[in-house]
Amino acid sequence: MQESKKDLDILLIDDHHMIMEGYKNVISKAKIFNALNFNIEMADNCDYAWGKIKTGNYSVVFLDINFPVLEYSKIHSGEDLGVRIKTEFPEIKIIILTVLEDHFRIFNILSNIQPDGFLIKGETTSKELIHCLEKVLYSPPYYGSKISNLLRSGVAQKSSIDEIDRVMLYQLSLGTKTKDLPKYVNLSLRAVEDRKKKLKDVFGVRGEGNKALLEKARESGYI
Amino acid sequence: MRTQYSFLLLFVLLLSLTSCKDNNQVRHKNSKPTLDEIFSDTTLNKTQKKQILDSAYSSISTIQNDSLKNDNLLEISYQYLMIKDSVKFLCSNSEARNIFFRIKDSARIAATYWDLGNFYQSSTKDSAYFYYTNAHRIYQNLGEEFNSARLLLNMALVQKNVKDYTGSEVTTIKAITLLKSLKKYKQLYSAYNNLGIIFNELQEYEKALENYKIALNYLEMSGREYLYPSLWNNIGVVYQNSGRHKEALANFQKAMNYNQNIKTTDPKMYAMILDNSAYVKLFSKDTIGIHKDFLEALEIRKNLNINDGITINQLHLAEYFLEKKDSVTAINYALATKELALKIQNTRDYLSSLKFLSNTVKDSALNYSQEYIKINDSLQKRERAVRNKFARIRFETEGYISETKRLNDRILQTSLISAGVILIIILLYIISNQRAKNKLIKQKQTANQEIYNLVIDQQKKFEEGRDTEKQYISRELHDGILGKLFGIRLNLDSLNEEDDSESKSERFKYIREIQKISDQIRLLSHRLNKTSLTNVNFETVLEELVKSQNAGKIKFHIEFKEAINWDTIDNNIKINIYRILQEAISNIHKHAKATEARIKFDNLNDQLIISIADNGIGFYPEKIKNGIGLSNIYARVKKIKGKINISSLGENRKGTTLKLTVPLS
Repeated sequence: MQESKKDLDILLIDDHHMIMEGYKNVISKAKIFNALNFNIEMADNCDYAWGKIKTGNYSVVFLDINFPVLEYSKIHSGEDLGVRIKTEFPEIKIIILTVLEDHFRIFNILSNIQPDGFLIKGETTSKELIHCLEKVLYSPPYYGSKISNLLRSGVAQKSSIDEIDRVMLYQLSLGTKTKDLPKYVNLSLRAVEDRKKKLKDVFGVRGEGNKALLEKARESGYI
Repeated sequence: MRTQYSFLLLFVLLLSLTSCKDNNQVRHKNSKPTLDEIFSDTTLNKTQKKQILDSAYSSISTIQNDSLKNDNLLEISYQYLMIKDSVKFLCSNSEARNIFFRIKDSARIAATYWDLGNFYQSSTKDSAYFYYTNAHRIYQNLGEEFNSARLLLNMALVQKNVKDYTGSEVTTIKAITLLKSLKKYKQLYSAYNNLGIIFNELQEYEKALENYKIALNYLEMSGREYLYPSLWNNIGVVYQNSGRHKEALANFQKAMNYNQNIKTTDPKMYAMILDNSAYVKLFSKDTIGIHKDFLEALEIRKNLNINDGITINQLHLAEYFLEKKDSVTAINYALATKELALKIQNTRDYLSSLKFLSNTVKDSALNYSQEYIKINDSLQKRERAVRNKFARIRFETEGYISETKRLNDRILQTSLISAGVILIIILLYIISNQRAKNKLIKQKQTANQEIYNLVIDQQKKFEEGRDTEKQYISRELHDGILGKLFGIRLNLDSLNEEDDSESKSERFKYIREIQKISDQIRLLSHRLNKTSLTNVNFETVLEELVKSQNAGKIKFHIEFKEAINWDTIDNNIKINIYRILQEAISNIHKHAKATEARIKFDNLNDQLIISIADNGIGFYPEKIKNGIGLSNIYARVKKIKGKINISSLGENRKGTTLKLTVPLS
């Protein structure tokens, strides 16, 4: 008779079945988790996943960020779902697995969800996945190397984009010149320029003009 | 002073001869000897000339053609004047004038008046003045300044002869003004000579001398040297009248000595100078030989029948004999003068003789004085009457001139107004033309704008489509393919360690998945190719218009049979075709109840043929002609000079076919 194993409910949320299959295969074949009896379930959209979470008893959720937009869906992205889980079921550990490499989105996700694990799909191998799960289970958090590097670079501290930044970006997008920005944000021109420089850092753009910055901000949904 | 007459006649003759020169050519056609030739033949005497003239006149009367007749008639009439045949002259003159009035030849009418003036000039001076005035008026209106000036001069001479000296002076000065600008020196000499005579008569001798000096100048410039004696004689008379006998005598001698043969070439002038110089000698008490001179002059004048000369000559002789204390002979000469002067109506000499007699014949002095006063009074009255008549003629002429001027002004005014009106009409035409042009340009611009907008819209739509496509491809690559690859990689990764048959088949499954991914990538690549920019032209716009109709039940097809070079077709045509197509499609949607509609474009012999056919219920085109949709189509077809033919119920019962033909050139 085998020792009775501890049950662990895992929910995989990804729109690609093959990926979820991959996760399942990797996790179930991992030898280090012999003491655990994984109960792995899958959900290929956020609404369905949220329903499962509300009724289930999951310890760990593997969460993708991008989902195809469905007209009837109430929860459009993994990020929204993550925030919901975090606020309503803070005990559930969240591992984000995404193809996104956009610094800004990553920072946003980090600050909004504060996930227990964060991996970029592109750099993730089966070994890393197992390692991440292990870390999340026993000593969270675990961030993939790219994310760790990003955090270490120190951009993170500056990365929060507040109301003033949004107003500035909005005005710039309307064609307002930088020197006119103080009228709208109640800051000195110097402060405005500093903030603009910081925004450029956050969005990872270089150069003088506003074009690249605005493009990036628009891409990231700030304008 | 008598010299003036002969001079005037000479002058008239000269001008008439010059005016005849034009006529020569007409007559040469008839190859007959011209009248000029005949009359320049000095061998002919007066009777011979008259015979020739009479035959010419009678032959010319038979000619019906006015234009042939008129020139010759004028010449014949003039020649009658020259040979002093009054009846024939007046007859032919008035006949000629009637013809010229009929053919409205004002210049020749004036010429006939001129002849008439010359005719009356020695007898009825007021008539002469009247006809000269008429002629002058016509020449003035015609703008013939030289003739106009010459007639003024004639008028001035007539005025001087009737002792209207002030009037004559005014007229002469008018003539001078014209002549100076024309540089006619001979006439200018004549005018200043006239002024000299006038001032002499008015006893303003200094002024008279001044004018004679000017006359002398012009005479020199004109080169008519034969007139010198006459002028010097006149100057001598002025000196004599002002009591400067020495100068007077000097001038008379100059006149006499100028031409050695004066006695034979100009006996009249010779007699005058001889008489005058003898008379001046009488005053300076140098009486030797003057009796002989007086008698020689008198003899010449009697021979030549110069009555005016005879009377004055006899008066001079009377004074001579009075000086010589031979009062009987003196009185006899004075009485002879009185008799002759009365006979020839020479009032001046008549008065002089009366004056002489009243002074000399002591016993009948009172009678002569009374007679003198009576004659003098009536003379003055008569002169005043003549002057008044002249003034009236002048006034009437001036009235006529001012009337003509008024008419001319009115004509000018009318023509100015009509010119203005015409100008305004032209301007209005230009403006409206320009407006129409601008309208056309504007229309063209709007058409260009509309086409441009259509193409831009289409381009935008294409670009939007391409953007969504790009987004789709990007997401597909990023999420779909990358995700799937990640899944496969993860799975294969987990299967890596295993080597059982199950794992092998699993791996095979993922290899198949990779196969699928490569298919998917190929598909995406295809789509990427398709989205690469399509060239948007009018054809694309039309295609899109038709394709966009396919959402409903009706299937729309569009077909271009020939390649149509839309770039060369006027935008106005294109936009109207587009609108017509829109209207037709809308009609099919609204009314046709069709299931299919076919739109065909064909290019045939510089004509665009468009057919829009549906398989709907059809209609009676002749009955629903006035529907808004159809009338819009008709209006647009008309705008692009096209033709439209609608065949529907009545001809074929299968739907409706619109056939539109648009000329492209």
